[in-house]
Amino acid sequence: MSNKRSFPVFQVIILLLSVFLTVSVRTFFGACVHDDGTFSTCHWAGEAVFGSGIVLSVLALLSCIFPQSGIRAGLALSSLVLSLGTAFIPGNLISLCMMSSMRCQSIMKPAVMVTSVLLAVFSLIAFLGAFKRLKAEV
Amino acid sequence: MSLLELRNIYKIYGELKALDNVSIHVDKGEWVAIMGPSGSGKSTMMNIIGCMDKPSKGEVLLDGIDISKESSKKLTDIRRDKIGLIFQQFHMVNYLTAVENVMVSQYYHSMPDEAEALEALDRVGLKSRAKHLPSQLSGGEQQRVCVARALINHPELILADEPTGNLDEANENIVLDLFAQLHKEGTTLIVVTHDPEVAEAAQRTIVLEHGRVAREIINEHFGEK
Amino acid sequence: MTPRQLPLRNLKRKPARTAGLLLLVLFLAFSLFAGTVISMSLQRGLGSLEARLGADIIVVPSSAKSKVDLDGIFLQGTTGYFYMDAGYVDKLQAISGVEQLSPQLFLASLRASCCTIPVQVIGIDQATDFSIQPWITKSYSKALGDLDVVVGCKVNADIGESIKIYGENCKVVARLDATGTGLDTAIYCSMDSLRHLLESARALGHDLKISGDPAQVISAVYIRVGDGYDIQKVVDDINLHVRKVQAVRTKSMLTGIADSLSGVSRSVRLLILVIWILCIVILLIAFGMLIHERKKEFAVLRVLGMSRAMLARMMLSESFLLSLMGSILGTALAALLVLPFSTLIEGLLNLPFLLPDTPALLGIALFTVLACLVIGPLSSAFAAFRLSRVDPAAILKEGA
Repeated sequence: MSNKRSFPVFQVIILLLSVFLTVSVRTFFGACVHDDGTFSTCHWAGEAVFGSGIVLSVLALLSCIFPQSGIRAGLALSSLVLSLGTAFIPGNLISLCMMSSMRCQSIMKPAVMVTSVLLAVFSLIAFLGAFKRLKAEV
Repeated sequence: MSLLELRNIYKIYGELKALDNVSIHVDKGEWVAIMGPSGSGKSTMMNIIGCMDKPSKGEVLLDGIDISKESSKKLTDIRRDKIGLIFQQFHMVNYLTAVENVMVSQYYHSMPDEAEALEALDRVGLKSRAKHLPSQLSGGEQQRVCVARALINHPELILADEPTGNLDEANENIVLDLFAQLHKEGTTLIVVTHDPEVAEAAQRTIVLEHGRVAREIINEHFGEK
Repeated sequence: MTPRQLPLRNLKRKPARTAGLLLLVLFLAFSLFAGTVISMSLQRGLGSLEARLGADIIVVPSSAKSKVDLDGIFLQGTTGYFYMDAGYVDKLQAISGVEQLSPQLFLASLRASCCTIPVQVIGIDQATDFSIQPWITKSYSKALGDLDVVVGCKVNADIGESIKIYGENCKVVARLDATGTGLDTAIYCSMDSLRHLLESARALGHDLKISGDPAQVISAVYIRVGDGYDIQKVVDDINLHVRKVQAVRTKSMLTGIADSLSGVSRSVRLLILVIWILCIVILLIAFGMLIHERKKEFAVLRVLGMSRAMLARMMLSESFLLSLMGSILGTALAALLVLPFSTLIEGLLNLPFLLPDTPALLGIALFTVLACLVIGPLSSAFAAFRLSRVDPAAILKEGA
């Protein structure tokens, strides 16, 4: 019925979100900066998110390149799990600063959470889509 | 026995008499063509017979019921139960597949039954294209789906308005062959057309001119082709 | 396939049109949910600020007014300190109309480690306090021991942890419920603990500009006026009869906040209204334009035996489905943005901001979805009505 080689909408959305997460956590959604040159733990939480953002971006890029449903299903599943894990980095896995009103608490943590949750949702959609096609192909 | 009888029908739009004292009758199982140039009142007559319009004056008896007096809700019921319609522009529901288009018609009549709908498509030679959308079908294929849709509920009357007007010759022949089959099975057919070749396929041709019946032609070579 | 699925099928096969209409409903839901939550949070913030302040009058040294921003200290949680002699408590007690009074002592902590920032530390007199204590009792019912502290909900220290203030390890024994105000960013301890900390600070060489005996200072006195007394008159009496102090009526501090709050609230509500009017107008136009586009489709269905009522029902189901999906998506999106970022919103508005509790949030979400479920189908109702009236023959005849 529909064109099998259609544009990978969800894969591209996931790629954009992953790149956004990676870039934003180092820039406009970044953790607290101290003017005395010391680093707070929230900085390292940001770096951890940055790292997993790069992995997420690579996964998404690969799933844009490979059209095979099996590969896409697998990649979507990994980015689903990884994005859920990423949501827990700031505050839960790596503690943040003392006051809720500080940048890492009020901006970085919610931004990472929202982006990761969106990533997880789209990864789930992408996985279900790829899985359906995989079953249809078999 | 007559299935359809028009008695002194008038349809008047202001000054224009689209139908001017027309009386015809069609027997059960008959295949009748209605011919005439544009503006002769063909379409008006087709709409009245198809329960989509009412005459200004006169009686229309369909299977013994005077449909010129019925409410529009009742007309919907009669149309659904007794008439299968085929149009020049096919008129498929464009977001439904071929088989679904047939099933919609089933639903309003009785119960949708996919097997039966597929059988109807098979009859018009389109079983393999059942899952295609109208946009993926050629004009001839669309019209054949519409024939399947019209015959699915086993109507007493199939009313076709220029059914071959948008078709090439090959598809025209397929559709006319289908009509011939339906005729053999006892279905009453009324085909409105301006194409003499299409009219010649029928048993009898009623020619309209200026809203009146100009003449009737009995096809003596019917069934020879 | 049954015609019951027709609406869904139609939505699926026209993805662009569906997405456009979906987006409109999504905006409706988003604006209603986000706007309502924000405006309710502001109201709750003000309410809780009033409740938390609990005093009618606050008395501070008269020199304080020129040195620090009093509104900031009492309402927004900025750090600051000033001192006066504890003897003023007795003098204030003598003023007629003063029913209850309780001194407090302030200290601003220093940035101690990588993840701390200066925090206002407030010592309360547990024997007389009436403003903070009832609130602490909710989370911690015992008396505060030496160097025990209670932290506001926005101080991210867990119970049992120690916070270092001027070299002293202070044990966190409780965390307070959110008030949505600056009080959430403060640390509370007993008056004795605070004097202890004052000493430590001075020992570390910090000049706190204390005049007089450091063991006998207080920063502010909270006063509750007895029934039947005019609060303004008590304020005037204090300012007239007690030298070197300044009495401030808490209500006048709050009016500034209440004013800007009602301003923000009004703009939020106005914004919701504008978005709704716009979206409804666009929806009406969109559904109206669909009449033209879909005339033929409906005529075919009518000719196939669909009744007028069925046709109208089909159109309404379509818009109902759209509204359901759009409103759920919009509400979810708004929740995803407003709830986690509430601290940021509070910071940007610089107003007390207290999110409604979970049942209330669920209520708002439900209300949003219901409102969209009414508005969506309603704006298509006119189009549906007009379409169901259309004469199928007239449409199919065109060009025949």
